[in-house]
Amino acid sequence: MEAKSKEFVEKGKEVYSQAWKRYSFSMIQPEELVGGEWAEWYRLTPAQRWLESEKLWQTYLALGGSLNPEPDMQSPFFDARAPRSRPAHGRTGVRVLRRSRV
Amino acid sequence: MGGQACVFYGAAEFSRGTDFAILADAANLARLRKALAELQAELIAVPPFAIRYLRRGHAIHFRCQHPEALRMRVDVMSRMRGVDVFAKLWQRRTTLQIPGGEKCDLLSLPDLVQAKKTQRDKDWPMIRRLVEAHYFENQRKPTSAQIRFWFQELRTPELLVELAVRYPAICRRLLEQRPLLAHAESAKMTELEQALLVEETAERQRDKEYWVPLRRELEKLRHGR
Repeated sequence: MEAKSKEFVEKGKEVYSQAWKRYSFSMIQPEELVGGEWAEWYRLTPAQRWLESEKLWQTYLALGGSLNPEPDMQSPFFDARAPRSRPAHGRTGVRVLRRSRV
Repeated sequence: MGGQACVFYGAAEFSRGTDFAILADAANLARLRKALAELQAELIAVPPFAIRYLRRGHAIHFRCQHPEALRMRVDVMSRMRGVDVFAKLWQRRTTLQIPGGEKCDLLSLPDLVQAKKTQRDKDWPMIRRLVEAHYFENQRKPTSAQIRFWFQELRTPELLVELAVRYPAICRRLLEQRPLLAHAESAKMTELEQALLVEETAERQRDKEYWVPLRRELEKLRHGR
């Protein structure tokens, strides 16, 4: 009797697990919505994202990127008359977001 | 509370400044002054570095002159539109240990989302990414608080529809709070997209209105310099 009920419980678990697999498979996956690169970024843990972002910073600074922010004209703090420094190399600051893994 | 927090939670922002939400009291400001002195940070623009401006909702801006953080912007705020008081933010914070052992306290995700509801274009795709990332991370076994949070803050029509299918009773309960959920419930994508846009526009307008007196005050301070 006990063995039978155990078997029944196990069978139930299996049915539930398969049903859940089918259900979760039908849920929207990140790739369908945002593409592979963003999906990959979403799947990283917060600590991994932090580290990837650190790497990006190292590259940016190694390439001579400046920490001086670009003016944000939509910010309520924006002051069009405020003096701002220009990069010594004369080019605009790099603002690229690496989308793979970022 | 800015770019670094967004990266942690799953959006991606290459922010060159650092934004801090702080408790505006005398003792804390004294600690902040000490930290800013270490960074050789200079006050830029207006308003002056004083408690009363922080308490009114202004941001205080600094630029670092320390060689290791040369020209980095540091912005400090204490009060933000639609965001709880600092004591509550602190209770809900996320603490992160970064390589090297340092600890960082970040705004909780729901608080960060509120703080991002501004008049700026760039903040809205950020909100969408933040909530999407949270949804995908927790969709298998969500808590009821997470489900509520998604119903209140998701900006992705497809996910709102999916959520409404999965949790119809909760969806119905939250209809009054967020009427556009009715379109999610009936899977009307075009109407839902339109309603999300209307919601965003209204929120951005509220932010603009909130800033009118503060901007006026900033203008006065600029002219008085």
